[in-house]
Amino acid sequence: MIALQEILHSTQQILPEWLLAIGILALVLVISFGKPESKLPYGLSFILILTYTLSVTFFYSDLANKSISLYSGMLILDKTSIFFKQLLGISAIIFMVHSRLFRYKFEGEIYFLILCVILGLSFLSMTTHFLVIYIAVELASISSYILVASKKQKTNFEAAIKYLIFGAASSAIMLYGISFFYGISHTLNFTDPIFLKFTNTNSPLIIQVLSFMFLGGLFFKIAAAPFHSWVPDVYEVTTTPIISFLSFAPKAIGVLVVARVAQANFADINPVLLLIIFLSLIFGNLAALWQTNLKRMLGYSGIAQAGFILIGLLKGPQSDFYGAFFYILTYLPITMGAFFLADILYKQTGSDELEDYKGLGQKHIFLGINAVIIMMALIGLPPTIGFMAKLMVFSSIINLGDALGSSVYYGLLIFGLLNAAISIYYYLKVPYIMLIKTAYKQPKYAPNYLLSIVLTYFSLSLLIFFFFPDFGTEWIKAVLF
Amino acid sequence: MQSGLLSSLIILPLIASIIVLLLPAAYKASYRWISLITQILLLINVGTLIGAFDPQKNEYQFLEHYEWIRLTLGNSSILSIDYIIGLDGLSLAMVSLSVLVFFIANISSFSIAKKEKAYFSLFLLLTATVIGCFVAIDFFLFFIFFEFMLLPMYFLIGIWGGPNKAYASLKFIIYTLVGSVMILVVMIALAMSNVDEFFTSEYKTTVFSFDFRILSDTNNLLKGSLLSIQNPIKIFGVNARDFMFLLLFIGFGIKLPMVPFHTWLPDAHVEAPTPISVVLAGILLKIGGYGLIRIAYGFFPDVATNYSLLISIMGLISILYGGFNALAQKDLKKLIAYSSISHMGFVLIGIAAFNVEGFNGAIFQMFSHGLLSSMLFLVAGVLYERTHNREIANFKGLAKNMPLFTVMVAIAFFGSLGLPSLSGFIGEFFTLFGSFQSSKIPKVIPVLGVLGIVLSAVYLLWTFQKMFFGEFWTKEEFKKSLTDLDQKEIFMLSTLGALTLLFGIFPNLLFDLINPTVIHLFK
Repeated sequence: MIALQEILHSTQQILPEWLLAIGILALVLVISFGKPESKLPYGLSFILILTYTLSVTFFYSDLANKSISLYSGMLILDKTSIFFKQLLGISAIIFMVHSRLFRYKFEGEIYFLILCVILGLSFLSMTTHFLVIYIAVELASISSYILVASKKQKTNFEAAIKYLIFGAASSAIMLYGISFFYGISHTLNFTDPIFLKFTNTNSPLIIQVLSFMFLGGLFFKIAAAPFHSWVPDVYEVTTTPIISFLSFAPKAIGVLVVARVAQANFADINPVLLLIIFLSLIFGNLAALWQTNLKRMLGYSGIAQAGFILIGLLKGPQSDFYGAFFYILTYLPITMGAFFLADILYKQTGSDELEDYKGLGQKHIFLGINAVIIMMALIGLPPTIGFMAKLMVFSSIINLGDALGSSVYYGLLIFGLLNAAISIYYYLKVPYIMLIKTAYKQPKYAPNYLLSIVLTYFSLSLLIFFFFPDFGTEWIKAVLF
Repeated sequence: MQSGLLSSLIILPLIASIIVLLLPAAYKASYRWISLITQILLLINVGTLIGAFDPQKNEYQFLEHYEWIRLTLGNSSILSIDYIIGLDGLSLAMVSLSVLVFFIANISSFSIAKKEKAYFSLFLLLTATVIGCFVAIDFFLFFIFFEFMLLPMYFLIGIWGGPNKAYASLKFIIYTLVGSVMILVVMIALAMSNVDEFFTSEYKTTVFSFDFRILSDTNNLLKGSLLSIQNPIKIFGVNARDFMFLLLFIGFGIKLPMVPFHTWLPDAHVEAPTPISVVLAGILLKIGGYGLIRIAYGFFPDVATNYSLLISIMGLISILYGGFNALAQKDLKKLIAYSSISHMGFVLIGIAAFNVEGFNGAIFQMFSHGLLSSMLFLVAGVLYERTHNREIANFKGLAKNMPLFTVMVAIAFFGSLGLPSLSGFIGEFFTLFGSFQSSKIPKVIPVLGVLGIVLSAVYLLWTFQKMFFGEFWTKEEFKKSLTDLDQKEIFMLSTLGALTLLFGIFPNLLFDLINPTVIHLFK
């Protein structure tokens, strides 16, 4: 009877997810029985996403500093998970607005899949249970594979298959790692004291290798090297609003889970992270230098940015992942703004190739200025919020090097900063081509002022949060573990 | 006293920049005038500041202090970032130089005939950031201006530059950005080690500060922190403080520029339009020297003395390498660019001497080089505007055709090669004098440094002789266009020439301003 009560109680606590799940079922019905051209799926999904965002915000207002364990430890609900769910909701809202503004005529299934990704990531954000992690990652991943293929062109199928194969391989490695963990400890929850007891009695090297295998599945979602091979193709061919959403949401939640693993402290994952950071920065940045396609370049940039975010997850005696969470918060407007810009450029030229943007910024100076601001934020130059994010992450390394007394961290600091300096080459290429090169052909379409205004909102927010970062920092401070 | 006069130096050009940006293209002709009026207002404001400045006070004057950002870090310590600006003798000298050179460059910009709106708004933005860089007393604020300066500069070279502008502008921005990330490392490390005592007791939690006045006092270092003097932490086997100092040295050395980090400069100069070359040589290079004095030496005085030898050798290499390279140049602008490298080498030697004479000399050399190099680039611009050619070999006997021009070039060249009674002499004399006095560097370095003056005499006089003396000869197509200076050019060159002469004869005009500050630095 106690178990039943527990289940009932837990079920009440995850109301937002229940609403979403029921809504998804309703959406399936609407899609199946509605007219093909109907706008109902869009409206229903928008309502669902809004409901989800509002309910995670207001439903838990009395949670305070507690961390509630649900379904006998399968899920844990704390303020950190709520923060990430809010980010998830906001990015989904931006996706909906984005696709509406550009008049994408998505079939209902796309919204269904997006909602499935949200549901999966939402569960992923509140668990320390291996099995739930696996299921949630799979729910989000499988939906993403189909989303990538949804444009139904040859290149999309190719990218989706690549995505699927790498995803399946990463999941298999992850599952393999999990099975070892289960074999060692006979428990599936990595915050469980029993689990810690068993991991502590084993050789640290074995635990580190197992952690690497387990984390592989998450690094795949974060798009960190060496689990990154799918990124460029997928980013290049997927419909822009979809990839805009997928470039942020899985990355954010993946980082949260890695943070939970680091927090649980059952293994010293710093060496693993250092390797991943090093590879991500070098692969992402060097490959991005040669790109001629804007979306592909943003893909490589996403790999490099993952490296920067992971720097904030390195664990020291006092660390609290403040830098990483702050970076994630700022990454939301930066990356989604960049894809919004990419879509506007596509709309005007009908191409994603950088060369085709020649002179576009001269024609529409505000488009050019917006491009400068967004790219500055990606580089991390002041006065944009990207600089603050990099500052936070790098000051966390200085603290770490201070506390652990190891030169490796100072090396990483300089390496990371040099990478930021290299990245200026490819990021600036965008405004450079737009503003400096002379156009040899006229833009196909006239600019749409509504779109430019929305884009200006993105870049203004990047500037304003630089001058008034307190809003963000206070928010993050309240949601740390 | 928060009069806002100092802030106006930053805000006025910013506002003007926005006005230019928002004005419709129908008012195209007014952009340059808006910009010029702004520069004149800045000149007036700086004049007022010089009048009200009291050199004997050993503190920053005209202070304006507003709280800006209180970043609460994870472990509930606070990063306090403030908007603090103020002036001491050193920054006042640099600010006066900046407004002067920007004023001249603005007049020179009147000949820009392409995308005026973008040009003048970027130019005004550059003005604001450069001045902001010199008046900031908060490291964070300084760094923002320092970084933000790159973008307008990048576009100014990239859009209005010569044929190879893409390469030059990118090289410029990557070099300087690498330098500035090194400075960023030090900035973070310094801020995480220096505690603001007052606010720490106020907020009851550790408050880290970026305030120059706190950073320059080693008593504020947190015990056991990265940069504490007592128990040094090793980074790659080097003491953290030494490591940070060297990072700063390289970071500002790139900006200065110091051999072997100088290769961006000739490229940038050759491609940049004349007014931007003037700004680049006249002011931007000085930020490197200013940063070395204010930040590298100001915050790490204990380690700086250990590196005097290294710095002076780097200075010597810059002098000689720049000089010999200048000898070999066929392009007038490239020659001037290399002579800039050579002359900025004296700044390094003066700083390395680590005594009052050396520092005074270094600052004076920066000021004088600001005037002279602006003049030299204007001279190159005069020829380029008329003929679109800068090959030294293409011109001969210009004195016959362009007597006024010849006079101006003579002043600029003789000033640069260190003729007494012109300002170049004083700067070089004091830096060498300081390094002879100094116990920290061997005498052989200033002795060899003197060779640099000889070298500059060789390449400048040689060029002068080749281009201006003898029978008038040039390519047929240039002959018609080679007319003497117009009024605008006479005004620009004679203003700079007169100032060179003034500071050459009365160097105390500047020394009175900077000497108390320098003496205070050594206390």
